[in-house]
Amino acid sequence: MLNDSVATLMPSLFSYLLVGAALLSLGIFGALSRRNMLGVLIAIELIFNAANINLVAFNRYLHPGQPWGQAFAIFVIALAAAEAVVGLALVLTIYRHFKTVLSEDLNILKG
Amino acid sequence: MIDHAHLIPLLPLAASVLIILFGRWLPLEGAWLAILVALAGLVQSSVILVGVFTRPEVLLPNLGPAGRFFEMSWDWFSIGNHRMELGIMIDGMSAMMLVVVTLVSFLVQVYSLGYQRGKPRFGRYYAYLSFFTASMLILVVANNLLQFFIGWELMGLSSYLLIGFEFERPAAAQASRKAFITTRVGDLGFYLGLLLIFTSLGTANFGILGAESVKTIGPGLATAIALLLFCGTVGKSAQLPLHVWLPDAMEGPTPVSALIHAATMVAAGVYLLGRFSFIFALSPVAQTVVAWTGGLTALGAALSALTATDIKKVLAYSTISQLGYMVLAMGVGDPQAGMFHLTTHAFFKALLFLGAGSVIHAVHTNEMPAMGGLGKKMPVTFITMFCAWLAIIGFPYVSSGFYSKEAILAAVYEKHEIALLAIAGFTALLTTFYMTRLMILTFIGTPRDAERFRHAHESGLSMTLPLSVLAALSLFAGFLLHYIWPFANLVPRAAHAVAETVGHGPEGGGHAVVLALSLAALGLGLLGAYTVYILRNPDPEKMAARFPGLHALLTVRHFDRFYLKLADWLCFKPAAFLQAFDYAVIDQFLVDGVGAVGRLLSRIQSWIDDNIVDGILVNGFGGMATRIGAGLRALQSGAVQNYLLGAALGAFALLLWSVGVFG
Repeated sequence: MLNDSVATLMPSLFSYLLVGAALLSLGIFGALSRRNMLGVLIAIELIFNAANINLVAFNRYLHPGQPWGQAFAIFVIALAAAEAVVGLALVLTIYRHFKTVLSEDLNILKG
Repeated sequence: MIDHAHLIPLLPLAASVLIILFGRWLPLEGAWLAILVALAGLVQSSVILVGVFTRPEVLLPNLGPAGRFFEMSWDWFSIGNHRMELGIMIDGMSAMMLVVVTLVSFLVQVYSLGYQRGKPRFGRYYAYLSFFTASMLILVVANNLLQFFIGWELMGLSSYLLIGFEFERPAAAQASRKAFITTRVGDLGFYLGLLLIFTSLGTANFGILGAESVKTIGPGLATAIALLLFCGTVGKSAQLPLHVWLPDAMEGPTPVSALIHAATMVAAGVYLLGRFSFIFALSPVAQTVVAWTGGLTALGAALSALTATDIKKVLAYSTISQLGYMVLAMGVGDPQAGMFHLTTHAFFKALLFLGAGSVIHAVHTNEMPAMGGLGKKMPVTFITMFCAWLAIIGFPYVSSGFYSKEAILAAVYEKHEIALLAIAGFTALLTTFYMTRLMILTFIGTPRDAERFRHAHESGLSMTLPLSVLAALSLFAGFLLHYIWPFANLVPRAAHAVAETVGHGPEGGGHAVVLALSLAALGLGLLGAYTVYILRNPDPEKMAARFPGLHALLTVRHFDRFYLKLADWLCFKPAAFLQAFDYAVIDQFLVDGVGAVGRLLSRIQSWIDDNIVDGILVNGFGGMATRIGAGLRALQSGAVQNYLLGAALGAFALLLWSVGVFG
């Protein structure tokens, strides 16, 4: 349970969601616009973290004292770690093969 | 002997087949086989003939309208109620013919041993001779018209083979074709006559025909049948107007000419008239036609013989002329005289040809202007030819030709055919003239070609022996058949007059006129020939120049020209027209037209194929797929961020949808 003093010091839920939305937008923008595959991976991490902020913020404000939102965020972090491993491994392999990590040069699936 | 008469034609037939098949392995290429068979046939025929003379009632049990006959037959096939048979019929006429045919054939074959020695295809020559003889014998012994026709046509074939025997020479090949085709024209009529007899009377058997004909044949039918059958004679016996093949037939080897002219081929036509004299007797019209054809043939051929310089050509024309005599006799209704002359003529004409062959063998030319004086070099040939000469000019009493020719003249005289009698008498004069000319030019006088004369020599025994036998027959056969074994007993004087067998001839009543006529003809002919060729001995070219019209009339072969024209009109011109028609209408119009239409249709079809099927359907669908694919391919950029953008936009759209922006 939160007391009033703490509550008055805490920013509102809306500001968290705003941060989350900004992160998501930055992530999507980065994923779509970065030429370097590593940049794309980093942008995808931003999207994950945007989701995590939302999960944690909703847990804190809507269901305080319960662990589910935070637990889910932990899961997402673990998932993001696994994703980063696979993604980096792919980028490494692509680099070995094509001597480039620029996404615009990698279009062998072009029809 | 007579019970095995079927062997007479069958043995030579077998011999010819054997020689063709196995001749090359036999000594003399099988010639001895043919000669032996001919001798056997001669012996058998002679025995039969003697039997027919001495005891006819035993040998010839059947009595028909044309005299006694012997018959045996085998069924061949039957159509409906009509029975066709193969058979043997022997009466006086055929018994005589058998002896004539086998005798002449035998002598010719013996003669050919010398004449054809060393020539190519020796064995084949004998096979053909045997086949020729067999064909004639099949015809002679036939007891029905169909078998007669078979022999008749086989003879046409064998004459073709023999006339064209030296086919390396184009003239011989051409002559054989000419003989074959010309006689075919007559055979067509003969065949129609055969069919007419068979359809109208229902039988082809001579005996039945002879017995039935009087009762059932009307004058119109008799005339039709007689004239059709006569067509066959005209072709085969070389009567006007189908005589043209016979002079050309001289291209065959000389012994073959002897065989064709004496015993086979041309004799068959006369024999046919004799066989069917009972039908001719029913039709005065046909008889008149036959008599005049014979008379004119005799005269025309004798005229042609006057100027011929080829010794064989003279003899060929003389054969046509003598055949004319025989046909004339048949025409005045006296088969006896006709067959009598056929018999004697067979002997002396065979002799003349074989003698001419002997001369040709010695001097290697046919041209009389290159001969002369050969009598000294070739005594046997000369003396035997002299006997034949006596016979053909009808020298009184000592020659066979005298009796038979008198019989014919007498028959004409009895018919009161004065114009024909005059023609026959004049022909006798001409015959004497040209035959005397032949003898003088060949054997008498000085040699005109010294080189040839020096090489000339008498022929060998195989050639002179047949000549001697025939010479004896030429002299005595007439006497023999007139007094000792009267020919009248063999062949009835006229059809349907069995009882009338009174001999007639030189001393028959009222025939002093005939005798005087023939003696006058003989004397004038001899005198003329003696004057012209011994006393004056004119240059032939000067003579020809002095009478160009007459010379052209006698030498130019008007009938040949006419037939060429006829062929031109009947065959070549229509053929040319049809060819033009074929080219212009069939080829150019129809065939090419169909082709052009086909090409046009193909072009339309091709346009449809190219533009509609290919252009619209096939390429259209392909193109559509290509264009759609090209559009879709633009989406497949391969750039991962494009896909990501799509996913993002999709997610955004879902978001909008979930918050209810779209409704």
